[in-house]
Amino acid sequence: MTRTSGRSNGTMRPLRSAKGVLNRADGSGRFAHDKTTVLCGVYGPVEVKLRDEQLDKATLEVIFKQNIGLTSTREKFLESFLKETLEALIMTNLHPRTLIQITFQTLQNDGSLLSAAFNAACMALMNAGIPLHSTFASVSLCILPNGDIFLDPTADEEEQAESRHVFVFDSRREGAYCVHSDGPFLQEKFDKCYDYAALSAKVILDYMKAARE
Amino acid sequence: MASANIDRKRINGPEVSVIPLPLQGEASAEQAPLLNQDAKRQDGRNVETVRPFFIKTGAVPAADGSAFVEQGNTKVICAVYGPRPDRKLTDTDRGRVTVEFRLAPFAQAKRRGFVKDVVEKEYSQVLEDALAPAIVFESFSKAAVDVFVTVLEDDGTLASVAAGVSAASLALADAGIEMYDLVAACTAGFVEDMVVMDLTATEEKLRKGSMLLAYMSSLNQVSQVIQTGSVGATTAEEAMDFCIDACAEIHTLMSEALVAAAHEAQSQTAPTNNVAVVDDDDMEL
Amino acid sequence: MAPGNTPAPAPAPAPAPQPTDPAAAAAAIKKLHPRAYLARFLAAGVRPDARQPSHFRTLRITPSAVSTAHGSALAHLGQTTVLCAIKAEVAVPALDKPDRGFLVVNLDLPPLCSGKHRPGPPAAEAQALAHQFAGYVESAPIVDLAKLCIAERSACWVLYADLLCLNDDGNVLDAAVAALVAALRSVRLPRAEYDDDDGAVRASTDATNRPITLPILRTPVACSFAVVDNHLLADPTADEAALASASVTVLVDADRSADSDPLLAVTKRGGTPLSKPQLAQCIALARNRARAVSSAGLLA
Repeated sequence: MTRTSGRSNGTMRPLRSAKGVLNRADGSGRFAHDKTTVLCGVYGPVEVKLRDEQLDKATLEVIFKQNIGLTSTREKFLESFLKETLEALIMTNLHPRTLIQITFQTLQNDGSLLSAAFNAACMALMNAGIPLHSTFASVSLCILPNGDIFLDPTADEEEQAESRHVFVFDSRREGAYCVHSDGPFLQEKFDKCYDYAALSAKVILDYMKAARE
Repeated sequence: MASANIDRKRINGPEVSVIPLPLQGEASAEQAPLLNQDAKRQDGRNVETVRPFFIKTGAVPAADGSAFVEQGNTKVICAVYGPRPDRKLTDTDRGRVTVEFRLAPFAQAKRRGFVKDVVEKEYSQVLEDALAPAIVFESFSKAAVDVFVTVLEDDGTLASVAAGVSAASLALADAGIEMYDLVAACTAGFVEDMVVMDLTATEEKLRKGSMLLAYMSSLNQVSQVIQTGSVGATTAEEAMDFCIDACAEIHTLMSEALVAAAHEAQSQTAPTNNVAVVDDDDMEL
Repeated sequence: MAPGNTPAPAPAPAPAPQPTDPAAAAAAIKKLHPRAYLARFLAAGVRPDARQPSHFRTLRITPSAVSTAHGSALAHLGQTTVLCAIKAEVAVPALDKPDRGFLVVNLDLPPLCSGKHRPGPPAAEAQALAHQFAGYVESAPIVDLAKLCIAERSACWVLYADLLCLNDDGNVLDAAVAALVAALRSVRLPRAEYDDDDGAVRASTDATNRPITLPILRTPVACSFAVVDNHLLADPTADEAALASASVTVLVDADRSADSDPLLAVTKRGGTPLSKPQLAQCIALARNRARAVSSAGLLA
């Protein structure tokens, strides 16, 4: 099955990014996979409430807002996902007893939303000067009922897909920081998705490096 | 279940859902009378018989103390956490006990949501008042004890509350909270002119009044009595006597269960061949 | 200071009293240095509850635990206990899915089950877990929702599956999936008729007249793992999960657990990255577990 707009199965959509778009935030980044756009604002390190204070590291607070609809348990799920992964990537021990608040706002959702959010977070954290262990990038894939693997799917492709996959990789260590795959899929396809995602993550990391300069 | 504000913190289904109406033939069936021809109730009991009690302590190992009580089809589980640090710290001489009573969404015939409603708040207060005279608050001053009672299956709402009182005092004892006595509770209903003990959910529809009585058997004191409906004074006193007798029996069952649990715990921790995993010299306390 | 008067050496501080009972010493160290306590066990290749790192706890299922519900099951995974009860009501089907019913799954972690949870509305973590669980059920449906249709576009059954955790000793997700599958198998519905004239649905109120069972499409088995100090621990207890730096959940269909069969879901959360071979190890262990559960006939 050919994809709309003539993309091949393994091609990502055009990436666009911007940093420093919010002038009140300590750091901000906007990342777009063609139409899917997520804006991320980072506030911190700032003062933390006594009950959330951690003596040896910074506390992370993640807030995710969708562009339509009221918040539901879905946003809580995305928030906990993002928070657990970012906690490992940010050098929280350099800012103990503080709070780093990371806010996401979906501007447009055309599939691969979680990946765009992770990528926007990386740009925003770098813009804020928060120390990171390494830069990171995220990629989404989906597998169609006929077995085709699509990289960076749009919303329509995700809906028709039999399974959806999200991976997060970093620039230094081997291994996926975050994996979320649902829908029935074969293990060999899953392994292929892992490999494709690792390669694509490198591409996005190179793009982010170029965007920094 | 229709609700104007959808609970955003839970997964929701369609906005409105209802229980199906009964079939045409069944709609005309009347409510079964309380007593059948042999002057026995629908489940075979006499008017003054209370349903048999089943007690299990330590049902929630994660809690400091817990108990599971089953009376007929009514199933109540109670967990006690505490004494633990108290945020509110109102009174430095006494501790604080908070009771939360909750009916599971599937406990009654009609599903209820997760949001706490007025009935649950009222019964939480009833439980607190029933347990308060028995607890030695001075033994855990500046600390709070949280009691969580959940009704898993409700066959008679007032009976569930009574089972909740018994379960809560068992759980408090299991947690090692100092108490003056165990509190046992039971219920009675007034149907026509009779005092009927321990009504089930179907029997509750026939009553015109009810009574809930919580009793401390060793001290011979009633910790709480709630009577609703319009009944004569002698009938009410009769009901209280019946309830007190039933509570005394339940009290015996409760103490036996606690003693048995203590014996079992003792025999398990008897030091036999304890493998020393830790060498005292390399880890300082 | 007067010459020649050297100050007397301060007396040595009295050594702290060491408890002589080894069990009490172990309990104290577990509370004060939980990570070191667990590391000692893992260095010896075993876990504090004497399990091997790749072993799961025993799963026990008690079907039809709640009589007021149309279907129910109680699942014990070690000491973690989850009760699932399903109640059926009737509603109008969704406009875009007029020929199927609803399955609404709510996993609740009340303050009863663990000291970590506070009373009040569910915490963010509990909501996230409930959503993850509901997501698994939606992407790998256990029952065919088309069978819940009473009259197309007019009436359908809504199954409210409420899961209550009664004791949280880690890995509530696995126990919840098992409880839900067993509860769905035990569901008995009455025959429902839709009356076109007044738009009402009628069904027998007799609890013994419930002939309809639900056809089961698949039997998902969830297998969760925790990564603690580079050790992969299957089915973590609450203490182990608190020290975990990453967690993995693999969902496998117990009826189709061969290596060539599809997996239902893989989720890896948390910080420590896992490589492909490590994920493959989790998947292999999960398949073994699914086969064991299936052959034990627990979810039959």
